[in-house]
Amino acid sequence: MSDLVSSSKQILIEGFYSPQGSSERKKATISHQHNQTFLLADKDSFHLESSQLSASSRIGKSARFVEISDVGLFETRDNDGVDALLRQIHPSALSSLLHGLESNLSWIAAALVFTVLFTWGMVKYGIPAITETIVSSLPANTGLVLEETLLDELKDSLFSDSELDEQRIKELNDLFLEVASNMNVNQDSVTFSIKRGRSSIGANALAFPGGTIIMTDQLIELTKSDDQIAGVMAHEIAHINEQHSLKQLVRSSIISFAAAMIIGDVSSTSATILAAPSLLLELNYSRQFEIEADRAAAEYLGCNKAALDSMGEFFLVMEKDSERYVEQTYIEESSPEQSEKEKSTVGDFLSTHPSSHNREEFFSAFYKNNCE
Amino acid sequence: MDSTSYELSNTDTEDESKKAHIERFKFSGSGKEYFGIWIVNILLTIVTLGIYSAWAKVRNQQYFYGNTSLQDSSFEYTAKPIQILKSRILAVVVFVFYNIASQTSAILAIGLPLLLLIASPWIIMRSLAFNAHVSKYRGISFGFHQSTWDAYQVFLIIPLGIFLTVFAAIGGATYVSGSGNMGLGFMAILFLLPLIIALVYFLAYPFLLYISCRYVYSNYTYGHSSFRFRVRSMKPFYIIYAKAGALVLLSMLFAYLLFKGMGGAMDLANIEYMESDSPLAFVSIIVFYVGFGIFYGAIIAYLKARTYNLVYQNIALENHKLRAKMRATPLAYIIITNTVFIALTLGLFIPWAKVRLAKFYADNTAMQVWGDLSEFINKESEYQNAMGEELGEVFDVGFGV
Repeated sequence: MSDLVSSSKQILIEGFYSPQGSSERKKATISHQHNQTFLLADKDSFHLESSQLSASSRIGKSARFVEISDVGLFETRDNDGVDALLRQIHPSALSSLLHGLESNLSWIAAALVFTVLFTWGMVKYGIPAITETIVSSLPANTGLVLEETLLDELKDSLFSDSELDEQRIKELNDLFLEVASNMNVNQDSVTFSIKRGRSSIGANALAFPGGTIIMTDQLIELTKSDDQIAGVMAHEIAHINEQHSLKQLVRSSIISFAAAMIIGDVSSTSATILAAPSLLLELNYSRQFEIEADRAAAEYLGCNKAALDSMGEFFLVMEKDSERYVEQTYIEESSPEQSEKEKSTVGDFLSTHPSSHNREEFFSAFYKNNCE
Repeated sequence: MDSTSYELSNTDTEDESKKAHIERFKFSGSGKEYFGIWIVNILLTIVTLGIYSAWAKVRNQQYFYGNTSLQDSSFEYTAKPIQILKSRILAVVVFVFYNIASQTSAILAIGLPLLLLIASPWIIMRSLAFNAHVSKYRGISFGFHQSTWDAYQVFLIIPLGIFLTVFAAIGGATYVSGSGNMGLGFMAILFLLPLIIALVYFLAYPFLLYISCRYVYSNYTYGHSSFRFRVRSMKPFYIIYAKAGALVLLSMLFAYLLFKGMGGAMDLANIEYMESDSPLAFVSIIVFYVGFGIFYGAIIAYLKARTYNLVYQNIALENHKLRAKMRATPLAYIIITNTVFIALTLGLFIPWAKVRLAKFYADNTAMQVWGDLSEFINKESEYQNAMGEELGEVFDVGFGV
């Protein structure tokens, strides 16, 4: 009954028609009634079989094309008309379903909410979890191979031999062994050395992926107590324990891959705009690693209020001293411009490390929260 | 004179009669409507773990093609999602393999990009051919005449030749002046390498742009007809870049004088000694970045608009000629505001940004048409696959003006 009613209702679609293989253009109408389809153009009239017809998908209000094999191409903006015709001749669920989604406000809102939540979840949990999985499945000596092949030569350009006296170096080595064994770290997995930092690096401490920790003379000279040195050592050991530099490498591969996939679709706008969020994301993760390592340092120092306070002070001293930063996960040139950014509040967002004020607050809060 | 009107050019053919008239390109999409399509594309891409991205790409393209019209006929994008999906999978496999391989083996880390470099002219050519082949107007396909040797000349041999010649010249000069010390020449090249690359790039770029435009726009076809690119020398390209260069130098001079004139307040060196929470430091940094952002956007817009006009004023198909009248200032305004809004909305403005840009390009492009564009006849072209196109996309070697 309903079939009979709908098929007897006439469908008229106004549009333009180009004959097969020609760019001529004529006003035309597709007419469908009683299961008969016709194309009427000027004085021509074609009787069309439903198997001759195939229509492009409906996308917004953009032009719709009906290809009529052996006859030509029919173009129209009457999307409802084409949909009505398709329902009569060959119903297909998919294309109308997609248009339904794309034009339905509540679906759009749901898609928006889902996408925002998904992105947030990926940033917060997804990327760190994937990184963790990949890093833990890498061979155990990956970090060492990386350090030996890529970073050994760089070390020469950053450091020269230490100018501290041998007695002091021996004390510091002993202190390091003590910190490492107190943190239950296998002594074979970490190597400690003191070097003089060249001007590009200054007072600094670095943890390399293969387990080498280098502290500069300049940093030692800035410290007021061995507690402060032990705190920095614990911080660096935590970086190595947690394989932070390997994770950083893996993570930036993931982010650059994701960015490449996204840019593939939005390149017509401006690709550079996407480089900014991925950089900010990187920096955010980098600050999280620093916070993790600071926590390890605080835990190592334990409920020793004087030591915790002096650790906090140390970050402020470092900042005042040279405008250069305390330590870096691995090779990042610490340039004056960078410290410039780090000092301002807006710079916090653009920094690899948390601000010194935040770090000082962290150490005093640590005592309050865990020891009082 | 009204900036939105176009003049008929009578410069090169005398017998151009009253039949010639201007037909404008129109873009009829809307940001609001496209947002729905865009966000559903993203949603389904996530839910299907990326598989839907091929369908998403096709729907995106169909939206922009189907909303762009000339003489009331719209453009049609006819690629099949499955073609795109296959090549996308291949591209992802290559990309992942490259990323893993380059971190484990030094030979592969150098060898694979080298292989990609050698393949890139072919990839660019395939990509151009695929995109042309799936673009239709009034049911007739565009096409691209694939001349592999020309592609290799334009995209690899000539650029590489220029660099190698310069290196050889410098190496030779140092060798002679260093009284036959081979090592010295080599060291000189090594030290000056980044500087030389930058300099040669800037000096040679307009020429390279000219030959690649000539290659691309004289090889496009529509039906049986070939497009013609009517710029016959590299000079107009050099003029554009020279003017942009002068603009950059003048702005830098102006900025320098401004900083100097304002004394301490804007002195960047002083920011270092300011208190970390000082509002002045904050403001100076913001002013610096905003100023630089506007400047950068303006230069990009100037280069884009002028190059666009030069290229699109000089493309012809049979008797018909494209016309372009893009001004740099409104383009700069669109580029800068798009960037700011995209950043402020964390990307949600992208659909509006793309629609604004498409509308601006369409509004500034027209065709000087003889008659009604009805004389073209379709040419059955050989089957194309999407492989080159997707490889090009993932590795970002596409071509566009």
